[in-house]
Amino acid sequence: MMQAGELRSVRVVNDRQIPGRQTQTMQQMHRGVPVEGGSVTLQRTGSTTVSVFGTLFNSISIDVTPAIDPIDAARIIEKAANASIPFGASPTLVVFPSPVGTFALTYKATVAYAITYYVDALTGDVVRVVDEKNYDTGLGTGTLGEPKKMATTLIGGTYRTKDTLRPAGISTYDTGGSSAALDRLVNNNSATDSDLASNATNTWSNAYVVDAHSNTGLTYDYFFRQHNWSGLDGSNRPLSDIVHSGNELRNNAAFISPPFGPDKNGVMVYGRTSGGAPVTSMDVAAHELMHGVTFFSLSNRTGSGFTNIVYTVVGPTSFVFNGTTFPCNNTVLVDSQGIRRPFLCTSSGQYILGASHGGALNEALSDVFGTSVEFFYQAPGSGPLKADYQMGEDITGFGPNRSLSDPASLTFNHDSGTRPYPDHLRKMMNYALLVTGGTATNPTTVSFSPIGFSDGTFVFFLNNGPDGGGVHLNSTLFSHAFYLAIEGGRNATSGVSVSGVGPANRAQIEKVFFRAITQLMPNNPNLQTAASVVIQAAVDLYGAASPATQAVTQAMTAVGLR
Amino acid sequence: MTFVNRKICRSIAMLVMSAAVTTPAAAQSYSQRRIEISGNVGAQTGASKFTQSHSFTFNAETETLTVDHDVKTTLGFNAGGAVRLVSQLWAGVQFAMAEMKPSASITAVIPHPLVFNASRTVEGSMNDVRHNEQNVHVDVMYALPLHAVDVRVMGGPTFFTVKQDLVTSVAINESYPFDTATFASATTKQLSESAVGFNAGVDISRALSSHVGIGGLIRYSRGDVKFNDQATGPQTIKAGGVEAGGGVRFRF
Repeated sequence: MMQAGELRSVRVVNDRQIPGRQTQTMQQMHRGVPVEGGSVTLQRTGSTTVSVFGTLFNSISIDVTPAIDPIDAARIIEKAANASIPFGASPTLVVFPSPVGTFALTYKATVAYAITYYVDALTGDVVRVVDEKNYDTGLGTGTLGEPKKMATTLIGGTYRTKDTLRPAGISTYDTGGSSAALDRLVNNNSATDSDLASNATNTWSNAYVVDAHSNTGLTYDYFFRQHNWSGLDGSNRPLSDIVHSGNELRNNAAFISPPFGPDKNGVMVYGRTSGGAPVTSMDVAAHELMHGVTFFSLSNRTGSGFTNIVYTVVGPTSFVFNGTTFPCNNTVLVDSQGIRRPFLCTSSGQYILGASHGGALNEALSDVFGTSVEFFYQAPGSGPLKADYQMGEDITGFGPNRSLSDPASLTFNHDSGTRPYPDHLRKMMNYALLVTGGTATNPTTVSFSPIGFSDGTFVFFLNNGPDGGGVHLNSTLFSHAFYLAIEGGRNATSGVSVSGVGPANRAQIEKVFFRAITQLMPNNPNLQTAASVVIQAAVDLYGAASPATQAVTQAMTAVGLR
Repeated sequence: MTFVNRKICRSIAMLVMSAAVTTPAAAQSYSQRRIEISGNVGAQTGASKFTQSHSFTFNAETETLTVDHDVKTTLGFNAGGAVRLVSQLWAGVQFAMAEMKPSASITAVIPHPLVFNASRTVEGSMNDVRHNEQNVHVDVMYALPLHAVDVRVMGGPTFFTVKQDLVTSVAINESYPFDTATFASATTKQLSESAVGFNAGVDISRALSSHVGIGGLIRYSRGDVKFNDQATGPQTIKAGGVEAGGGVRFRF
């Protein structure tokens, strides 16, 4: 077809991800006239074709001699559109395929507001009008009264939260508090346009919807602008949000990984606080979307997200609770089903403690980019709608719930009081492991018990549970390193001081952490390995002697990960 | 000025010059007639360039549209009649019509679809922006017989009726992340409005016979025409301009 002149090369683009590869787009031609919608894209290495995708039309036999000239076609189009064709442009001849397999020689031109007209070049009849613009930008009011731009779509006379401006597309669904709707959207991959949040006009006052939809969009923009990363997987996999005011997500928000979600691409779900405030602030939305980025970047490189490996340390031989000593070898825990579970002990009778490092790292990276998105859009400071190193602080009656700048300034609850979040590996929470399969001497499976230890201190999580091995509680020691690498300062536990790159260079550290997770991180790191990956990312981007590399190296040392 | 219009002007100049150097026998009776019907063809230029400004809500912010409309010299004609009131004082009415299609330069400041305070400025131009005037000049004329020609100085109100293409919006080429945009096209709407202004000019004619003469006319007219349409916002444009032409005179 190429030699016969039926395909014309339109563009050759170098593959950004695989060196040496190119993609070439070819336009189908019929007797020198482009065939509308007829094109193929080839992926090739040198002269070897790797793949070909696209659509070509067969059996086109029409004559390509027009009966009317472009000036007459322009007049017909402008009269039909009551609008001008762009200055300098004139209608162009294209072969237009119909749905029933016939072809027409047409003139094509786009007039104001991106409406394209096709005029039969033989009869002068307008054969097709395509409104290329199906989006709209509305105005919303966020939770704190701030104005937000809403990328929406007018569907059947109703505005819906379907963002088609961003290349990935963002759909925000509203369950209306229905548990059944939440279940259907998350678990049954079943969604229609009617599940999207809607409004009669394009002025939105439902702050719950406004914040979820617009903050997801702004986070998408941040990743694109700061990291040249498009959507969840870098290749514009579609994004979905669900706002759900029911009880399932009270005081919480989550990214639920594929294959769940309305289109099996995972979904970000936002709940409300006990006081009714939407858990949809910018840092929370960015946090959840970053979970998606973490999942897909790891999955695409390694085959899975963070694996559930439990890294262990050796604990004491016993602990004392309410005046009673509990030695590892003679203590069992009765679970909710009444089953007696022994603890995992060393041969010398010490408790074996564990934590989910991958989980903590996952949460830490989401906090890192939750705050990064804030700094990208908001002025630094304290108070509402100011960029800071705290998470969830803009949610009324809720936050802040974690601090990257001073983790220990915030505490978490346990059953004997409160405890500061860790800012150093030494203060990491580790949990006594229960034998849940096999025997105490030959275990096949283990799980986290609510018996925790931190810095030699016993902490009992009877009601709150072990947080999946401390995924949230332990995240701060890693995310604190991010803060130190930018702002500098002294770690309160180690006393190690860090020369940060300074707020003006914060983008460097953001890029370092982003490269670490999206390009280098294995799916099974402990926190020390993750620290080394971050330092390697800094070396890759800025060199071993760069201030950025020095800053992250010092920061990881300061938090005990080196 | 186009080739055609240069020819017209040159013809008018020659007409006036020839009228000044010849003296036909019938001139006296021609000058004393009481009623005149005249018609002229010539050139008319727009009164002045004008700037159209319009603001409206787009992408949840304010889009501003500024259009600099050019003027163009075009072919115009007029026809009318006059009555001698007293010896040198005439009163007359003339209907004049001209249509020009000058270009317009367009500047639009278009809000970003996703981000506040990140508007894009696009510039473009548009040809053949229609400006049509149908004017009625009501004049008092003072006649100054000068050798073999009649010279009349005139002035009075003009009733302007203007049809004007005004730009209502622009379409742009843009793609994500929408930080830049380029002009694609503009949409216009034709509005029609009337206003009262003034005119002043000189008419010179020379008799060819006792009832028929030829003449030339130079006139300046001016009026502010105010449009107020939702699609374009309130706009005031200047109507009239310089009109120069020549034609025939019939006197009775």
